[in-house]
Amino acid sequence: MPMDVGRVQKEIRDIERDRASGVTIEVQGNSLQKMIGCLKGPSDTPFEGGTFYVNIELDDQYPFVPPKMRFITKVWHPNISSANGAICLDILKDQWSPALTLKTALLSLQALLSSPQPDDPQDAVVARQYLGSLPEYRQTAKQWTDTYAHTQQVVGLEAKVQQIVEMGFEREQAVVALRAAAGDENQAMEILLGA
Amino acid sequence: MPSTMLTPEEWRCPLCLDLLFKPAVSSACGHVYCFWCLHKAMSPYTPSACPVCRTKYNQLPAICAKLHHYLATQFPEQYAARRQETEAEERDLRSTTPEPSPAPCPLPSGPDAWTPQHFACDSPACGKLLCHPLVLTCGHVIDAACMPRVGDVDGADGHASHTSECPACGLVSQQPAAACKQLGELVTQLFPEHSRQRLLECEHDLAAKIPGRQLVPGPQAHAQAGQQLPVSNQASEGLVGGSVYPATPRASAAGSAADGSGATTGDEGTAGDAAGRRQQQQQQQALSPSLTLAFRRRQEAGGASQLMADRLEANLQRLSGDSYVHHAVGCDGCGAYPIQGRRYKCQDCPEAMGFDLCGACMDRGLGNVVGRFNQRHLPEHRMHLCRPRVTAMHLLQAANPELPMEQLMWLLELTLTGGDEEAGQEHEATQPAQQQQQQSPASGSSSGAALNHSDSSTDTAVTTLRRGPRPVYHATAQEPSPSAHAAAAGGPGTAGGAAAGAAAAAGSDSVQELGGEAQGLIDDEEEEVHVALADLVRDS
Repeated sequence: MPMDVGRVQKEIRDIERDRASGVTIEVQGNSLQKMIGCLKGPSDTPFEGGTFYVNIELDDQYPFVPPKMRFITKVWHPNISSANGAICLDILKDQWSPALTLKTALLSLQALLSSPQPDDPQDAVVARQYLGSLPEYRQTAKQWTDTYAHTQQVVGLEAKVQQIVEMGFEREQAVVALRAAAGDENQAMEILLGA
Repeated sequence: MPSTMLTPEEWRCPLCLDLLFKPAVSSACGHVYCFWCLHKAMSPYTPSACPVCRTKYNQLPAICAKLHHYLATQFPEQYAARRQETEAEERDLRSTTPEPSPAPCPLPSGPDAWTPQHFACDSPACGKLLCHPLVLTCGHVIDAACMPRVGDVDGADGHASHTSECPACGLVSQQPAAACKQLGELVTQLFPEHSRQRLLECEHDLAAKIPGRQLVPGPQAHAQAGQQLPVSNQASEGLVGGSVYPATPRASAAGSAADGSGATTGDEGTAGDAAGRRQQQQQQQALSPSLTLAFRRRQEAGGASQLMADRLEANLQRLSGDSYVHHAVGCDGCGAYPIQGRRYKCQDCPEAMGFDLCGACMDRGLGNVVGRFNQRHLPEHRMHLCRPRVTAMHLLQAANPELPMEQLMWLLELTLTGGDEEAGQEHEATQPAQQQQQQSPASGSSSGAALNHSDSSTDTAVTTLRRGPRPVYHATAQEPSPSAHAAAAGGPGTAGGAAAGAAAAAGSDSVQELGGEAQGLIDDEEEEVHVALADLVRDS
């Protein structure tokens, strides 16, 4: 069964209309199967002020199976892998319901940032630190936010993407790398070559 | 007053986010979906959860004619557009849905010209304006006050609980219905005065029917909501008879494995002769003794995969008789999906979709119903009793009764995709070996742990088992069956992979062991058993 394109389009329109929600989404390519979501770090947390990008992939059976989500921006959080951004969140796994949407999922990620669940960790090192020494955890998380998530809007992204695509990279990879590198072409190239 | 219920925004399907088309109401909680959307959202293996509130339900409801006529008249253009869209999809699926029965009174010529007759209770004895509309599995809308009473416990909506026999058509729902709030609000908005009057009347009726019932339910009443209904009087026992699903999903943590308490309570019997016939059929249906014997012998022999054998044996009863679940097959009479217990399949229906009835509907003689998918079934068609066929999914379920369905599907997928390196990395900093024999309560929070455990042992499983093309285990593999087109049913995984998953999750050491097990079983098993194990054996 092909993906329910109509529903995904409606979801995207809904996110675009609702600016107040604080989450945005950008489609990669034409198929509506790959997107990059963006959410703001919740206030009163070590993630405050950060902008976090999330890679989203939709299966053909979406919305009857959960979307695949993974942080592009590096995050220090017990339920998010510090190495690859994989997320441990029940609604993205067995607690998914087709009545949930990309918007509610992104908002849930925002909520996850404010309330870590160290008992069901994704990253055991972070979880141990969270349980053992909370101030230290907060400091590290803040440091990571400052280093990786304090990006200004990527200026002139399209031109930079073109540049990288001309060098023979996939468009989607280029965008992801540029975002992760906060718009720095050189750093983006390093990411692409290192990957 | 802002006429919110009169705008299409209030009538969006929570699944396709479009205007509802051929609305069907999940009767246990009252949430409304498009018929097709709700069908796609159902689980082919276990009772399903309402996508909005997660209330468990196990019957695919029929289209609600009242809501259908309301939407078609109130939003004619949008509804016509939705019809066009849906019919195009139906052509692709090569399946259709029945047109709801025409409205009992002429529909208004245009929007906003509704009269109370259009929203009257479907009970032949009532016919008054709806006040607490219960949309039953058959699609009829009955007022709460018109449903026969079961007990004195108040239901989730604060009103008395009811038996679930429809006064209009006699169809028995397996769960008590809850009021459909959307329909209730619509009626209140259309006829504010009339509804207020009816509300008082209904409260009065209910108070008279239930001695000691307070008009305003107290907090205690709400606390009791959702509990099992005590069946209080003789008459209602007869009504509730018929196959009843366990209150908790079979695969959930609550449905404890060994004691089988989560298993079905079985049929109480609706008529004497039917009971006799059923007993005979149950014997026919029971798992062949040689398979049982094989399990037992394997157990005595001991070995690395004894744990798996033990657990399978403890749950053998789930693979036969009234506990057997016909995956991805739905009853065209009462909508039960999947069918549990006896299943009858029509041998003469030409549609690819097929026509099936559950034991209870067969006994009630529902030979001339219009199928959920518009099959042209006729009463003279021959129905035949299907034997239970134990598939890899059944074994996986029986060996891991504590795991929820979603995790079993994950296991299948995991084995199919070669251990999914993402899943492997995800738990990079592995948790201590506490999960070695973990039979963790499969709550949402433990999902990571359970998966982690399986990761470690599936690697070998996958390499041994992924050697050749194998029939993909999915719904249609059993038989060309009705409702098997369900996209949701496309459970990925190979037969071998499934068995590997079973082995991994049961804590078995290696797949070769399991292969040996399977070999032993098949040697002992003379009858046609099931595709999955046979396939596994070929490779081991």
